[in-house]
Amino acid sequence: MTQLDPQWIEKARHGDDEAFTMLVNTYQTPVYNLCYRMLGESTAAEDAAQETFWRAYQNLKRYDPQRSFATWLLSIAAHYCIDQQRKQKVGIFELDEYPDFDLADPGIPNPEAEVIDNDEDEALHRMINELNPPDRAAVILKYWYGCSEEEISQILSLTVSAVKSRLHRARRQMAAAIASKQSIPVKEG
Amino acid sequence: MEHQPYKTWILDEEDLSDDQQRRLNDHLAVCPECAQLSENLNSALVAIREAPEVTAPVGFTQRWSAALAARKREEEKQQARSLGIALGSTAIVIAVGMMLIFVPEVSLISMTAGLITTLVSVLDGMQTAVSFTTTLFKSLSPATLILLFGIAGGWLLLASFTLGLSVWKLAIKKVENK
Repeated sequence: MTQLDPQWIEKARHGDDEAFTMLVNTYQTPVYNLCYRMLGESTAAEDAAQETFWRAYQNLKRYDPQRSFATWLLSIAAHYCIDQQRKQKVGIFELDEYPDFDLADPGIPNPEAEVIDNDEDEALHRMINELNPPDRAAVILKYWYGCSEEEISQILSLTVSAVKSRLHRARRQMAAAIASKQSIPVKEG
Repeated sequence: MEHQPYKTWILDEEDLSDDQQRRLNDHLAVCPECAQLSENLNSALVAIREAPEVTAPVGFTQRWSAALAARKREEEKQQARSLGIALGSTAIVIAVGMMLIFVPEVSLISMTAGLITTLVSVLDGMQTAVSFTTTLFKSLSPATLILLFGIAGGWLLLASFTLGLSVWKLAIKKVENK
């Protein structure tokens, strides 16, 4: 993940708005990506990412410089998205909204190759969205951000054993999703 | 067929010893259920790992800066409102307190009694005025009444016309200034 010169963080902590805007510019994509993967919709993801930066701005004095700034931001974003999901209860992506995707046959030329990426993205959202929000956050942090179980435990305010348990459950659910719905078009290779 | 501890090993993604890895491979070779689980999990994780990072929409930082400015303005307004309410309440409390301290003859009961007396006097005065006007109208001749209403109506018309003219002039001036 992109790292920023600590002097910008220090300047922002002392009330320099330009420095904080620099932080927003640097970390906008990792924060937005996390929100997008959690919420599955671009408008909600942008709102959540903006809210994450606003909360970070308001609580910057409480930030511990010994911690990674990126991890701190992701923690705010993950908690906000989990809260949003809990409030909504019903997920943004309902299973019925999407048609079933067949496994792609790599031997046959596919005239819809240009839209495959979108199909894959939607199918991925569908699979991820079946997980409960904290499990989803753990999976996203583990596989998209390469966070260790210790880092995930810090970000989500869980114990390491709770993170392991959540990841175990999430993997079982995802494997079951593939088995029952074949929701991910498998690529060759 | 016994699927444990193989399913746990597949789903935990823990580092296995050479012996454990060999036992797992042997099991996967003869157990279609665990082999399918392993394959399905692998497909899911490949799909996740291959999905690209979604970049923030264009103009994200600009929208952040604009939202920050708006939120700060709103916070300042909120603070000003809170300060005004706090100061106003304090001033009222101090004024009432000082009145009670420095004007000992004025108590809460005497203030309430004074207020009620004033209210009754005003109502009594209004009743007298209404009764006087009714008596006056009854004693006047029809010609005098028509004359009086004519004068009052004329004044009202003139006042309305003057007001309308002023409003119209102001509106014209605003349009010209724009």
